[in-house]
Amino acid sequence: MTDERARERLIEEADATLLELVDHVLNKGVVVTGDVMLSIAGVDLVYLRLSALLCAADLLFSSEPRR
Amino acid sequence: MSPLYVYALVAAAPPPEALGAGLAGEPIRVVPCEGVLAAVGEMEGPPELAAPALRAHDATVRRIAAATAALLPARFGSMARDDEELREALRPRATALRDALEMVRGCEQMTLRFAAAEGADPAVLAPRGALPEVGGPGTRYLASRRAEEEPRAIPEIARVLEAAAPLVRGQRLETHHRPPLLASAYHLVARGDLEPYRGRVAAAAAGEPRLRVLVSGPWPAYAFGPRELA
Repeated sequence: MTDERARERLIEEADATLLELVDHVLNKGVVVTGDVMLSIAGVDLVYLRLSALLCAADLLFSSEPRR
Repeated sequence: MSPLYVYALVAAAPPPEALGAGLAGEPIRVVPCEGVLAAVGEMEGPPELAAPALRAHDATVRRIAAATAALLPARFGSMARDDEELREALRPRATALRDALEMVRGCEQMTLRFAAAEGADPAVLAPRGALPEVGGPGTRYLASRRAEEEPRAIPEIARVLEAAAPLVRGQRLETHHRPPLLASAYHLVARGDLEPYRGRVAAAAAGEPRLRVLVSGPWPAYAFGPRELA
């Protein structure tokens, strides 16, 4: 899968849980062999999406008590 | 032997039933190296980068973590050619890895996302830390630049972090320049302290009307591996 296709696919499937999962599983964690073979959804992409999510969350959950 | 997909590093081998099967249904085993054990499965190639695989990776790591006191997750996609290559990668870092495993022992990771609340101007939530009185213009400039990268320079965030601090055993902070997202905090919290931690964060966040605080977790300690392992 090309980087671009993988990126689009991740974005299409994006939800709050997945975005957190991407940030933790893909951007964090021990790089054991020094060669992470998959890395497409870079930090910038993740945080752009998290940012968009936070905007959306304000709308989606506006009727709930703010945490 | 097939290449190895690395799920996590642990301090002690979990029972075989906890290791179970991995992403491809392959049995998971441990590869020991100087006091660190890598939980691995044999896979022909790296998993596809897609949501199901990310979820399966995380689920596997969580299952192993639940059966052991100290675990560091491997980043998704980490592979080694064979046991020996894996040991070669771990050996020079074994001390740092043992220290990191000790730090996360008995803890879970909680993640806080700090953002400007709806209607709040993110610019208002700018760093407002005091500039140092000492040093020349260059020193003061560099210090102010550092303060801009320090989430605790934003008083609203600092107050939430201070409220959580008594239950935090380890902390990593990141600043984001992606409005409304301001910063992230990754906290190590003892497994028995998760509910009190959430309570402290929620109470502190309720007192910060300009700030939105999103809490997620518990996570395996994704943010607490040694930094330089590449």
